[in-house]
Amino acid sequence: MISDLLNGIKKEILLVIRHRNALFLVFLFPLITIGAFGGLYSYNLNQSLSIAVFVDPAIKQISLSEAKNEFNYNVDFAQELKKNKNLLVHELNSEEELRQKVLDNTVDSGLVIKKPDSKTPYQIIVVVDTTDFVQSSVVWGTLSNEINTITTNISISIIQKIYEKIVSQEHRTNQQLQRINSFIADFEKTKRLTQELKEKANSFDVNEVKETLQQQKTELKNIREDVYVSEFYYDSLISNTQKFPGFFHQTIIDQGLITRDANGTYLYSTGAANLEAIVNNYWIQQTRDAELQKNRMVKVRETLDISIGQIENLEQKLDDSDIEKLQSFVSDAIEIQNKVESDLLESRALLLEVNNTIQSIKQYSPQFLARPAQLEYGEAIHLPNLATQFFPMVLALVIMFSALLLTAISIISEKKQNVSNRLKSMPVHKSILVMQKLLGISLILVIVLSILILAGSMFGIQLAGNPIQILLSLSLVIVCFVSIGIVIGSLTNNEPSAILATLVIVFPMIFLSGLLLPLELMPQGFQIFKVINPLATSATLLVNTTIKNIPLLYSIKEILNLAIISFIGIIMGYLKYL
Amino acid sequence: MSSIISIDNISKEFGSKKVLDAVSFSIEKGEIFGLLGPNGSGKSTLMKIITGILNPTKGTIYLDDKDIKLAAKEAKAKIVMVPQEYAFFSELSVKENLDYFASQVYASKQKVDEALDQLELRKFAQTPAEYLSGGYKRMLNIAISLLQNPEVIFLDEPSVGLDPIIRRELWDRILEIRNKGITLCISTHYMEEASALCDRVCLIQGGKVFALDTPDNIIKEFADEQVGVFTLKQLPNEDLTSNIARNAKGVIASVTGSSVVVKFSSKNLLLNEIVKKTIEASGFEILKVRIKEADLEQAFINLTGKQLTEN
Repeated sequence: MISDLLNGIKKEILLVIRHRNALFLVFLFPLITIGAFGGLYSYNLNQSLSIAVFVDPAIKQISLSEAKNEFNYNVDFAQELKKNKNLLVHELNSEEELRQKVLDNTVDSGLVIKKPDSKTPYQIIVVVDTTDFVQSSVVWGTLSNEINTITTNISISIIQKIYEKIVSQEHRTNQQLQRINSFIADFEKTKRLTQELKEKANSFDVNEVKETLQQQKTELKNIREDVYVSEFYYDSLISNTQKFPGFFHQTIIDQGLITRDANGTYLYSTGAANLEAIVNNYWIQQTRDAELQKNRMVKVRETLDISIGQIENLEQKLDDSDIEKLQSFVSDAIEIQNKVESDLLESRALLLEVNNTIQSIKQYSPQFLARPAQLEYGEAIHLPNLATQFFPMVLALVIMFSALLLTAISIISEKKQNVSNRLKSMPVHKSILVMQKLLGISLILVIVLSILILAGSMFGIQLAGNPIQILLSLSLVIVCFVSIGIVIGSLTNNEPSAILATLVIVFPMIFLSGLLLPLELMPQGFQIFKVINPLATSATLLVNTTIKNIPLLYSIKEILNLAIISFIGIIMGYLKYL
Repeated sequence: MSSIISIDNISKEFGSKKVLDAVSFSIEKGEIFGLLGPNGSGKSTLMKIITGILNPTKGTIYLDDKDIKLAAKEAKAKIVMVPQEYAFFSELSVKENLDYFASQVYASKQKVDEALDQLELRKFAQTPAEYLSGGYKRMLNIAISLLQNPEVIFLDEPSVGLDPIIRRELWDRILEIRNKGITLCISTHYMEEASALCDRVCLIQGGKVFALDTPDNIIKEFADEQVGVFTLKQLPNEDLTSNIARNAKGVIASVTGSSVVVKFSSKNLLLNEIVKKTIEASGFEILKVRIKEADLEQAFINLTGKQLTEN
């Protein structure tokens, strides 16, 4: 049994080697297909894209007429795009010319940058040739990424300036904190003097008390001077912080980070809304804090005024008999001092909080604030070129055509040479003949395609898969298509009808394989073709084993599909063979 | 001799067309049996049914008294069909073809060597089959059938398209095979082939058997007349045929161009001389006389009203 099987396999190999058409199908066709495919598509995936750019001249005029301010940022999109070595940028003079060049494929795509008026931000239109589905996607992805980089750079530049302004507040806050600390230190003296007065209130020397009061008054006046300075500082801070959010909002509108729709609603670009919220919250809080501080200073000053008035009043009227008045004054003074001390401590706590906020902002760089989330194109597996990426699909197609036609034509040839009839009249097992055909042709194709895969590296095709896994999956795919070829050959009687039958089977397989259009776009019911279509299943299995290098166990569904299709093919072939 | 194959009431229809109509006969062990009939008479169909390539619409075939349907495996082992067309791989050499078919029937290498020698194919062993002459392609066709040690070989039109020398060589090989004790059944539309090779002949036409016997017996029984063709210098007329019919009783005379064709019993050879004298007496000059002996073709024509070959 083994010897007749081996002789059958040997016969199949000899027939292929000696038959010109068979040799073409088995060797030249795959070699030409894989060679041409590899040669054409083995270039690097980062190949240059030629982009036509038209910048509306109005943009430059508006930029010139706009008032310069410290946040102004004018961007030259063409120059920015030229920084990317993979883009060949052609600057054009009109939008019509640009669209024409995209249509006649002089360039891969176009970029129209408009800015109709000073209130409308940049409008960027990516013009692609939609008849070329694949190129459109590549162009859209590349340019979206590029525009995103440019707008992020604008954001970083603006945020850098805002950041510097916020951080510069740290110095002033520290100054104010120092001043308050000095108040508190000074206030200790006043408190001590009041305490002395309290101790002397029951039996006091008028001159001594007056001297203490004089000292106290001087201290309080010094403090009042400092409080005046603080009041002035907070006034200036309030004025600045109130203006800033409106000013910032206008700036980011001018830079194209916010647009307006027809209803006048603001449309924020990525990150701009968050940025404005951060800025607004910070500055509103700053204003609120400054107002609070200022009110507090006013209250302190008013309290100090009252204290100074009381001291002056007491100085004028104080005599040895005014013990009660002195006691009452001391009591009021302690109360006022407690109040002032409390306000000063609160003010210091507030300044410390502002300082902490600045410290926390300082933890982040402007780059971080402008681009808190970085979107990157992550490759689960690195593919060196398009040839390698699409090689499994090409391999599946080559196997399909070679196996179907070679097997069918081999059976037809046996019929034409009357060998089938002879074998039918001989005491041979049909199952052995079917197995000879299946194994013989499969072996030839496995050997030839293995050599071609190895030779594929000459065409730039680099496969990362485990060789044994590749061999096993390749064998299964070949056996599956050879079994279908046996059915075609058994059901037809001449070459034209075999070729026609092959085409009738092949075209739906290609259309319903997902190679031309994703099957996911089809109605749910049609997606069953993903499972029952041997081409789709083969492509998936070969992708898994040749380039993804996934263990065969994870392709068990595809393996079972192909095994079942092969089994059905072999059974049908057995029933119809001879 | 005992019969090795018995065909009992075999009919075959392709759609509405009846190709074989209740055919029955037996083939004796060790004989060369001839199926004689023109193209389309049903010979090849009958052979294909016997060898299991086609199924009959009706009837039974017995191999050693066993229904071949019930003993299909044994029948396939013992009966071999050598089709009219070449049935081997033209791209393979003679030896490769024999090796392949030998492996399929578990024949030994020795058997391959025997077949090469017996059919005188040794010198072409490494030649691709497609480059063999027509005669040697027939030899290879037969050689392959010998590999499985058959008891009966069916040869479908073995010498069609061959030149006379090669045909004679092929006949010698066929006789050698018979001498080894193998029963042969040959379908042919060549009368000479059937006469030269066959022990018994079955005349078949339109799917029906018209006669079955030895060639001599069939000729004696169904072709007992001679035909004389007298080519004249002058064009013959109806008076001449009337004179011949009057002088030579039992003779049928007719005119074909410048010839007079007469038919008469082969047992009465004197009539030939009477016809000759009558023609000369009527004032005609005889240029050539050809007397055609009775043969299987004549028997076939007499029996079926059809000719074996188109011309």
